[in-house]
Amino acid sequence: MTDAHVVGSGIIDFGEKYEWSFDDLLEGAYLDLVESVDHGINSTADIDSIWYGTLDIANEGSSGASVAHATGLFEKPATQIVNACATGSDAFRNAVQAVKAGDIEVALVIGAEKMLDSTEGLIGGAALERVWRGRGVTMPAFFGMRATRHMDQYETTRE
Amino acid sequence: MSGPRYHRTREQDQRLLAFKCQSCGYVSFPDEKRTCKRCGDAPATFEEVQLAERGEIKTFVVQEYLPDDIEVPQPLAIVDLPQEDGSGESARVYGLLTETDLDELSVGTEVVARFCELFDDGERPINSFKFSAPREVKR
Repeated sequence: MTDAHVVGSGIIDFGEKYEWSFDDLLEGAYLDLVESVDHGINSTADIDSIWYGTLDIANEGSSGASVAHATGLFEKPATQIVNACATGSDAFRNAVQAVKAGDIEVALVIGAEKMLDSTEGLIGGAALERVWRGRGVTMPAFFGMRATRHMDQYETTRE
Repeated sequence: MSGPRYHRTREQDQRLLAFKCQSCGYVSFPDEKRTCKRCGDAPATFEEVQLAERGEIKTFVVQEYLPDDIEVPQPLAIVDLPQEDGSGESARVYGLLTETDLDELSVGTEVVARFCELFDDGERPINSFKFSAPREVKR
């Protein structure tokens, strides 16, 4: 097994980015990454494969091709990972496995989510017509309940 | 339409029927399963058990932002519902709360199941349980 290393990383500032398209988010993170790589990178030549994480709430990036359009990295195999809150870490995990296995040398792991273009964002799921764990239940609420329980059991506080 | 979905879990939705793993005692609700979520037995044997309509809040959260057609604040809780005959383990259930004073809500609060309309699927009302603190008995 080959060791896998992170050689660069990029991010955009989170916020109400109404002026940014979904592609703009990916592009911004990608540009920040390219700039950060320790010894520089010729990304079109050096990157072998792409793992791309998104739930695509905004319905703007439903396949690996979205990354190509946002970054110019065409002709690279690109896999979309959709795995709820673990989407980002799972995309990373898959890339690490491919590098460790020696199948590729350089992976791009990238992801984006546009939360506010749809007014409902993550809470839209609460409109599900399902009886248990459905109607009136949001994903953030599951974490809220964990927090409540943790605060009760371990006397943790809000800040 | 969504009819079959409600038919599948009718017994759970309307009378709190649950399923107890004969290997480890885990009580599954509302999922009627052939594998056990806790001990991993596959195939597992499950026996039907009746849940009580009175349980205890293990944790909760009050949701302030929901789609427009859902009333807020909407408290949601994880409730442990014991088996009606008092044997074995409780089932751990996600339940919406109703008619509950938010200030009196805490981990450990006792709640009762109330049968009511949860929503309308466009053709008919979908009825099941929400939970609320027991009404005070006047002495």
